[in-house]
Amino acid sequence: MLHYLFRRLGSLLATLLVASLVVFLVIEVVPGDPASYMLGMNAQADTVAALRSELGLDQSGPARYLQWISGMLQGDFGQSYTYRTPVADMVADRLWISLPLALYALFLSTVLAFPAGIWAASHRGGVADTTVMGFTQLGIAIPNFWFALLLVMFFAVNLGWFSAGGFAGWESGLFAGLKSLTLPAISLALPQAAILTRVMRSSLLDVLGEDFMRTARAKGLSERQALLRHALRNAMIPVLTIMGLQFSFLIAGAIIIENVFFLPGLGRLIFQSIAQRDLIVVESVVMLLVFAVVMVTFVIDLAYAWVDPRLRQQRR
Amino acid sequence: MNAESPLLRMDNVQLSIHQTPILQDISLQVQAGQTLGLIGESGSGKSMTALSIMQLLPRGSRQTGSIRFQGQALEKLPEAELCELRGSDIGMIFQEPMTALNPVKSIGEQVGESIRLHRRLSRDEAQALTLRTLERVGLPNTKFPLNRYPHELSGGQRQRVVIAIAIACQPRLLIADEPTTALDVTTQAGILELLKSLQQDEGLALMLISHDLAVVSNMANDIVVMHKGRIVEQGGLGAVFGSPAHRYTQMLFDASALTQVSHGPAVQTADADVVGVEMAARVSPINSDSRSTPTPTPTPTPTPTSTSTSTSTPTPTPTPTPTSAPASAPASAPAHTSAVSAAPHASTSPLLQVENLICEYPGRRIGLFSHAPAFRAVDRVSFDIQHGESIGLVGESGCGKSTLTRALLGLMHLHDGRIRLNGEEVSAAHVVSRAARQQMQVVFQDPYGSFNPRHRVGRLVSEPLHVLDEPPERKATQRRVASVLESVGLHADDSNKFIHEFSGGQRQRIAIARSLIIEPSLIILDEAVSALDVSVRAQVLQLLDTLAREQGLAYLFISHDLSVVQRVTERVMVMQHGQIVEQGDTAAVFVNPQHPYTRELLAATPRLRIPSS
Repeated sequence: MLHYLFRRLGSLLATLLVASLVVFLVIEVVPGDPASYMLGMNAQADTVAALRSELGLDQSGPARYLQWISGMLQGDFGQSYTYRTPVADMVADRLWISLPLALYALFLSTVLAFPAGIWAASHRGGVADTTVMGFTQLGIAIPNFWFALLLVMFFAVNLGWFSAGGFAGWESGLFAGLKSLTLPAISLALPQAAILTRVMRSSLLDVLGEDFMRTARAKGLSERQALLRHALRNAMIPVLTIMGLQFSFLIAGAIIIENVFFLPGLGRLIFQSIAQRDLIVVESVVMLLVFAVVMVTFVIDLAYAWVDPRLRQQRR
Repeated sequence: MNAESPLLRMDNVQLSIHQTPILQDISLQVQAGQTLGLIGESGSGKSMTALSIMQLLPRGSRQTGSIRFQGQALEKLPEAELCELRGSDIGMIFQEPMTALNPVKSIGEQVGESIRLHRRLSRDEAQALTLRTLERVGLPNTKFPLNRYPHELSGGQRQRVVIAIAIACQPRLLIADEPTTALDVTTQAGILELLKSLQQDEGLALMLISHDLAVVSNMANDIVVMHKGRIVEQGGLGAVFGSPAHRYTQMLFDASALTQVSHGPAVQTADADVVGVEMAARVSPINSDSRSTPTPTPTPTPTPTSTSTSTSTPTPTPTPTPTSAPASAPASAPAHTSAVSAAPHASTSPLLQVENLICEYPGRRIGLFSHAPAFRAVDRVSFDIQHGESIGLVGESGCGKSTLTRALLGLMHLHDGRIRLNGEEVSAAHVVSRAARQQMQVVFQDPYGSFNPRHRVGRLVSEPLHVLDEPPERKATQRRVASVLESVGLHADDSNKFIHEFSGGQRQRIAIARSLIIEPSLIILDEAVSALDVSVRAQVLQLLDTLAREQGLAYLFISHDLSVVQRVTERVMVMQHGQIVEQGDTAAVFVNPQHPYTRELLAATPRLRIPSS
């Protein structure tokens, strides 16, 4: 098991290294010089050159890459070209909204999808199944920003239970913070839950047809016991895979929802930075996202091994 | 319950699933402490009978009639009480041990669950009972600790765990649905032995469901024969097997007797009631010497387009060839059992030459740069196949048969040695020779999995034409497809159908048609009849026989089933641990096996036994 862990960690680092190279190269070839962008259309050539050297843009590519990497390793992500503030601080501020939001949405989606999927699978072909499947169709079809607007109109405008947007800030208390994330989290969770429900259901149905389920019934377990004790864990692998993908997406993919609710999250940050050619911020945020995705994959891999002893052994 | 009433009694049980009748008028009894053998081919309703006793029928089933267990009407019991009964009073074991256990739970958990479910025991007591039960089925804790997972066990060991789950609570009735069908013969012998001893020691009644008459004949007191959802015959073992009254039983009996391993005097015990010997006299190996003397065409196979296995029609009995009856004449059989070069055919050069073949699988990685020692799956194997010869390769799972097959087909990197077909290397530098491809085709075991379900039969069958240097035009292709389909006993029209429209036996015919279309000289039959029912198997073997005679094909017949190999081959090779431990004339090897492993295999093969009634 330890060996498995180390090998996964090794491939994790390799992935990060490759990703950093790709991110750097891609940003290099994208047209648009940050210095001339910052100084505007009418800037003097020597002013631009001065700014370029101040920003370190006149150095060679490899040198800048090494600087960037070594800086990141020490927690120094560089200075934002536009805001002239440390990128690390900007990202950290945004992460404190995006990460809880992603976790919140994932939690809601899981809480919705697991029971719904299990329920549908155990009543295959029945009314429950049809109903659940109908709702998942809706959940996948409805654009989440539109659903978010509905939520705002109903819960914020009509009932006044929630604010229509903005973030209260964690300093005003955990409850206040969570409250302002609730509507965004629901709108993010809904389509995810719909997909997860379907995965859960079909994965369970596959397992329910397995021979060992018959063995479980033959030893005297009721249908429900057999499902919970024997089928669920076997059905988890595809479900975990989807959950990992969804979480990775939620961290930065919430940009539309962040806009609808005026949340200063990572998605908006990266969008603004791209618009302003603030390359250092873009690079940092993308690297951070790569890191998050790689970490999530790592955690999911561990979860696989926890769920399925065969995987533990193969990779030992 | 008084002493005379049976433990289990089924009266007029009818079963339909989604309005399709499955079982009709099933009435049978299982006496306490006795063994009932339930025989029939696939689709005869054996398993559904078992599941209706367990009341674990699939959705959409409707069952009428009465099933009484210890006087209780099972069909009237509420589900909760049935759950208490299952695993406690009635245990059940299944055909496929590889998938019958939950892969993510340890064997201790799975056996213990059954105990904790039915017995109010403390944790320690339950664990002690789990250990005792596993020990009872031959899995002592010292070698098989409770935290083992199913994937760490072999098929036979897994089946023992399934048995442990079923008997942990000392049931009165154990239903065993084809418990050994998926196992090797030596493993099968062990499991049957275990079931027998459990039945005797614990006094439990055993309902043994099997398609294998030989297995049943060695275990059962009473016999029930099922066919198409009905019981066609039942009675004591002696009565049913001694003088089968029903036509179907007779047919089943003939078909399985044809594929009985007959033992020579060296192995065989004195009891003359071993039918195998007598039956083998009627059997000729495929294209044995008879090729020189044209034999009458065998009885045409029944129209194969009829759905299902068409078991009601009598199976064509293989043509009795007066020239050869090797198994029945042990005394005259040549004694050279390691005759590699002494090929019976005086042809010029061998069709296939395998020289000192070694195939290895790399060991798993143990460090960044180091590997565990490689696993040698095929170890210095050499043999020849002559033109038109039919040769058998037997051995149990894991012996290297499949790797050898893959190597012959050029699908595997050869560690050392060479394979030549008509003098040409089959694969040189990882590229499979086109010439070899044109000469060699293969038929696989699984008639369900070896076809792409989205393609029509015509396309499936014509696929090998691509390896020809000049693939025929569209029209010519159609003609060839039609002609091979007809040669395997199907219709030319079948080329427009999809594969799911065919039964297992018909699919295997299509697989044979696919291999015939480029007119190869060698066909490798990798367990090609193992998945088929006895009657269908007899038909397919008959077809192979005919084709060999008409087209001068050579067969490499790979099988774990000794009876089939004995039935159809002239020479046989026995493989163990990647090596060929014995090879020689089939008759000689079976009559007078030299290698201990061959003897073990032969001894473990169940023989059809008919007690005097």
